[in-house]
Amino acid sequence: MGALNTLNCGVSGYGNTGFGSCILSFDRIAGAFLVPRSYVLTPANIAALQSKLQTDAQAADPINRIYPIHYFEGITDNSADVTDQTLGYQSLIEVNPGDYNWLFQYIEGGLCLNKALWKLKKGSWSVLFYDKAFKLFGYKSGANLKGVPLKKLNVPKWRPNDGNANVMLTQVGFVFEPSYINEQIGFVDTSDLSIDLTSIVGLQDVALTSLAARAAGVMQIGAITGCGSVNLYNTYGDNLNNVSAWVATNASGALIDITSVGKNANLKGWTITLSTSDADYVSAGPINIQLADPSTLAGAPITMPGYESNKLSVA
Amino acid sequence: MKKKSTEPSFNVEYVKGKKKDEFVKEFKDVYPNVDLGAIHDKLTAK
Repeated sequence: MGALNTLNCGVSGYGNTGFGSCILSFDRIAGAFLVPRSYVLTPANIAALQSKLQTDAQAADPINRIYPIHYFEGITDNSADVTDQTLGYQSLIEVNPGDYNWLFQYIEGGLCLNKALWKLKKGSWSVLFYDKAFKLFGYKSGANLKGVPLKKLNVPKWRPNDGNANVMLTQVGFVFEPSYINEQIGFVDTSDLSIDLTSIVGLQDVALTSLAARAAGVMQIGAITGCGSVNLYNTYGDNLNNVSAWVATNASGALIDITSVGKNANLKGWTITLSTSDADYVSAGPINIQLADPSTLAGAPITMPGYESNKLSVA
Repeated sequence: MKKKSTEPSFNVEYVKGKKKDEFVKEFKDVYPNVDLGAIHDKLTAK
């Protein structure tokens, strides 16, 4: 509560310098989660951290999704030095503490991850880091843990293997103000919570393809991974052999009832039949087909976690 | 009864709105090797 002519120095301007035998320090930073600016981990969320993060990594709406990046292999610390002003009597006074600018190399994910990060770098993100000891950290806001707001998500263009000393170089960098992880630091030591942060994986893109011309309300659809073009039929043929795994819409976005889904072993895809009596069915003109949202795919009876498809327009 | 992995998946509410002969006629060309009558019996019994 404010009071006239009273500074808040006693509240926020001092920090006691004593410490006990258990101190906070971080090991090598091993990974990060890109999170929306508004993302908050409440005490209740932290108590069920693994399921909270996994659920949010597969959120149906990409705006509300968190994006894990694991297996950092090295760091280049390009953080800015503090800027001081030398006063007339040669005293130094801090003008600007300088931003952090951390650049991490990764191998796992390669160009698939690089391509995804190039899309994400256009957005406005915060970040939660974790270290090799699985301490998750960002900044503390009341009783909550929040991601550090990024000034820049830095995704350099990849560099080729030079055939001499360096493998192909893929990197991701984070630029942010230092106050968040100095005076405001917030962390969760997950080492005693049986949590494996690396098991919280991001979604893979699925590219749907039309395997044959649509015959009235019958479509033949294939599914391959968006990066690598691995046919998903052999692994997930049964999982996607479910009406609830698919969504059909007309050009206006109105849902069209799917009446059946069957495996097509010859085409290595799925036969999908639509209700031609549905008022939203169109005999002429494109019909959009896509997989259900990631959380539906992850749940029973489909149990195919970690995937999100494109929307395929079938003539 | 659990669906066999190779058996097509049907929209149960849609099937319940169809008589067996209508259902079989509608899907026999799509799934020629499937016992559609048995599937109709199973799904409409739920």
